[in-house]
Amino acid sequence: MMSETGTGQRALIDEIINQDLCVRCGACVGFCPYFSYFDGQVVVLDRCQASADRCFQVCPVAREQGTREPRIREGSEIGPIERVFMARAMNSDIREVAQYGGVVTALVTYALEQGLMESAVLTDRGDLFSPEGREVQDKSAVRQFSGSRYTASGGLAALNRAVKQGRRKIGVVGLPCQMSALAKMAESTEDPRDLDDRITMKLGLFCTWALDFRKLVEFLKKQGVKGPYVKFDIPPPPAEIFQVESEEGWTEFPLSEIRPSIQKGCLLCEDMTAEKSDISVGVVEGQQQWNTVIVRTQRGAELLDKASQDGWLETGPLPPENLEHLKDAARGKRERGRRVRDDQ
Amino acid sequence: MRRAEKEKEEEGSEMISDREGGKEILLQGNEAIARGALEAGVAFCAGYPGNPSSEIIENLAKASQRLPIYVEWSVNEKVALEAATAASFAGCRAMACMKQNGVNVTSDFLTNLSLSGTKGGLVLVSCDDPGGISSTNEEDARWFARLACIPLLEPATPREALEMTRWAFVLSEAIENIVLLRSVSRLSHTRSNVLIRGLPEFDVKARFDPDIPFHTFPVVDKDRARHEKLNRAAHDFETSVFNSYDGPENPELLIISSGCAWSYARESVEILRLEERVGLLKMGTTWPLPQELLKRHLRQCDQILFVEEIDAFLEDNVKAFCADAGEETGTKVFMGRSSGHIPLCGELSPSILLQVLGEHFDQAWEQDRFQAHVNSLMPEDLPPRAFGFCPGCPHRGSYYAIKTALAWDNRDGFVSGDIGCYSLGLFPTGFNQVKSVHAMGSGLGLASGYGKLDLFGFDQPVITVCGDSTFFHAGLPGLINAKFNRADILLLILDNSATAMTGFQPHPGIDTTAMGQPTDPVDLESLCRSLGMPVEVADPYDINESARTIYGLLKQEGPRVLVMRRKCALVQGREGGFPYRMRVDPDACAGEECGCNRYCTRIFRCPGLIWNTLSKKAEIDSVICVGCGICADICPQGAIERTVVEEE
Ligand SMILES: Cc1cc2nc3c(=O)[nH]c(=O)nc-3n(C[C@H](O)[C@H](O)[C@H](O)COP(=O)(O)OP(=O)(O)OC[C@H]3O[C@@H](n4cnc5c(N)ncnc54)[C@H](O)[C@@H]3O)c2cc1C
Ligand code: SF4
Repeated sequence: MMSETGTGQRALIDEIINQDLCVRCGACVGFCPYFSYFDGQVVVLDRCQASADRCFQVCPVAREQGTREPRIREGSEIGPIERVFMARAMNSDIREVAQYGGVVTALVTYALEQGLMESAVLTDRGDLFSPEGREVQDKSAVRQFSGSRYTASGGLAALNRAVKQGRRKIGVVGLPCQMSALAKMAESTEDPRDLDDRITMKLGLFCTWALDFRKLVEFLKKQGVKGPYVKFDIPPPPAEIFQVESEEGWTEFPLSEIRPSIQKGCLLCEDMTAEKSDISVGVVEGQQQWNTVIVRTQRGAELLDKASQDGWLETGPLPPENLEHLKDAARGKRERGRRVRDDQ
Repeated sequence: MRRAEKEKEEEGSEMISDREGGKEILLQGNEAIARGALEAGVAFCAGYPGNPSSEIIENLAKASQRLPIYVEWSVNEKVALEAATAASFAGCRAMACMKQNGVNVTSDFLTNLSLSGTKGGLVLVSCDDPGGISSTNEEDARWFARLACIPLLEPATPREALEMTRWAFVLSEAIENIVLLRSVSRLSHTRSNVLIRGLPEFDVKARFDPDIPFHTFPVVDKDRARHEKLNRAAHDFETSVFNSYDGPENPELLIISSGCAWSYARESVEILRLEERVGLLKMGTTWPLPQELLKRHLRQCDQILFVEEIDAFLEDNVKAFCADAGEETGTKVFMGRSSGHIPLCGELSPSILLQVLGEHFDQAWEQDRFQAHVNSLMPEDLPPRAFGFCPGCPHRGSYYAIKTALAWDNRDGFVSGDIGCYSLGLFPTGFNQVKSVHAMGSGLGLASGYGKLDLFGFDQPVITVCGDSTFFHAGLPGLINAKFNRADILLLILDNSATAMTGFQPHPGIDTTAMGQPTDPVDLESLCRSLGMPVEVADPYDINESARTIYGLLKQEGPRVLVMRRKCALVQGREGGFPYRMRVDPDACAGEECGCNRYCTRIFRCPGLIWNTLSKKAEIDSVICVGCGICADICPQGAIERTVVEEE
């Protein structure tokens, strides 16, 4: 199933969407009127019948044209590194609402305050429907978006909208697939936008997998846990549980019961640490008040240094055993992805 | 339409209530039927709108402003006939009018009523739609005359429509049973000069005589009586002025024809100059057959061609009759729809008959010249026209929202459609969302069935759409069924506050009756809520919000209702207009470069949006756009701008 360039929307529909391989990054949504992200799914609204295939070119799940090589080179398990260390937000109010150390919330808030970003693409908590991407310009609003949603959210649709609004200096917070999509957008021959100029910062999140929102909701409904859902959580290993907060309080499930709701496309992914970002952020295992931070680019380093100097971040060395553990985990994901893809 | 013509027409519809008579006026077939009923002193008229029948009740409703008659738009055709029958039982002359589908609806009552019989003259008018030009079917309502054992009259011209209608009441009273009068679109909508007579005094007194009940028992006796009534009608038909013969003593071909198909036959015979070779038997009373009259004419000739609209009704009945009367009439060659000499389906036309007769007499019919003439009358660049919603039509917004919600939902959902303008949801103008359309209210019945198929693994969501008028007509039982049987059903009532398709006749959701009197409208929401189901309301012009509402409802279970409320665009137009002035910002519209592949004109397709082939960008056609503003929400560039029209 290899498609030529110029097959238009068909390729994306046939090879990704209809195969249930879409990971809902949102890259194809909001550029043209033919796709939509809603309540946890990317759907085809109409057939576009054009030969241009930007949508296929930017899809992070779609294999690179004409090659069977995995996209990410081997070698370093966690991608390019300028620096790797651990950090957390100085502000305890941020840490309170953040998933772990609050580095992401702190960096975005700081960048908006300093005018380093004009707007940031974040992921909301969802209300009636699933979480989805939002463009945020007001720095005080950033913390409404803190914390992790373990379902994918089509967040890049919000980026596409922001670009359409003419926004410059956009910061994007996203999962590894979303960072890949940003890179593919910039490379795409069909994408006329000057994205490299407009996106000033790419903040990637570590990710092992994300859940299919609708499968998850269906599962929870079957288990008698009714929506609306306030919060989902996956405490770090070895807990092996999934927690959901609803109106009736917290309910727990063994992770193994949740695994069937993992997005099929996630199992193909070989990137755990968002290798195409400027800065990647994850947890420090065993120290949940802290984030593992990988700085990958010059501009990433600049932002980080400034934020630290201005007292927004507290940093420290990452214990070597944590780094090793991270590399193991990243290698594990890479091998899983390659195996699943080869089995296809 | 040219002004003079328009004035003449208006004069015609004014003249329908003229008391004096004694003059010729230009009348449409349906107006002639209305006038005929008035000349017969009709007291009570009821109907349900449906092309091509609607003008009869409309004109009578107008006449009711000046004459002491009662006219109503009933909730459906069955109720219309029942209401009219009450007047007949009480000794008044009464009439019920509908299109062919309506006769199906009323048929249960009709076949029982003809057993009980009637008192005041009662006439059922069916206007059939050959070719199904504005119908979901092509159906010949004449069979109901056979089915119900009642007399059938078929006028051929507006003049005859008037005369026959007037006589139909007399016949009905003579045999004490209902009479079916059948028109077709071309007659109902043709105009010609008609001689009107004076109107009687409308001085009836309605009274039901409790000593004379009307019912069907004992059934067999009543059935026997019904056949005797029919025989009496057959006897009258033998000498009826509505049957006539024109042609030589012994023609080479005898055409037996009824209704306005007769005029096509006459025209074709004249064009081909076959007057000396072809005999034309015009039948106005087509059930029961006037057998003696038929025998006389059948003896004249052995080659018989039947020319009639829609089914082989005369053809089959005459053939059956000949099986009995063969000894007297001799062996015949029968040609018609059954035999395949005339196309089995579709509307007749003079040109079809010219073809048939030309072939029969081996006479070249100058089709080329005729076609060249037709072509010369048509402008060259006449664009092809697909079915389409009007600019500003709320249904476009509703279907857009439905399309979006079903795509979001992504479980292969579909729409079970119903009868009304919104049946066009079958076509690109409604984004091909509708997947089935049959009869009034059937969308709901089907949906209540789908709603129980989960037992067999069915997991697709179904939306059923229904207009407000259709909902009252026959939708409600389907909804109640769904409620009672706990079926999963999502009903969208497309409430445009009008029976738009047939010309804005009032219905129970409106505050004015057919006669223009104020009334309390039935409140859709409270009606549905009283059934104990959730009811929401959305605005079809707000496509995003509507789509979210529909999506949310799709996720729920059990019977639930969403009223999509926005007045019909044509009504809004009459009432002073729309909220917005529209414009495509040429700088914002990226044209061919956009990547949207002309979404607004290719997918959304409101005729108010046009693609400028020179600038390669979209534009608003300000003549056509009414300013509903929906399209501003569909352009990916936000290039379609709406500005609020200032209140004057
Ligand atoms: C689906 C998912 C899986 C993850 N898996 C791992 C893992 O295996 N190991 C690991 O170390 N870390 C993982 N993370 C990252 C981790 O949960 C934290 O987001 C990260 O460590 C940053 O922490 P923080 O305290 O700075 O976050 P915060 O300051 O709370 O900021 C979190 C940011 O993440 C954004 N966000 C929330 N949900 C999503 C989403 N679904 N998609 C895109 N952006 C979102 C929010 O907009 C917010 O800005 C995962 C995150 C997600 C969303
Ligand atoms: S506003 Fe747009 S959708 Fe509405 S009538 Fe005008 S062109 Fe059509």
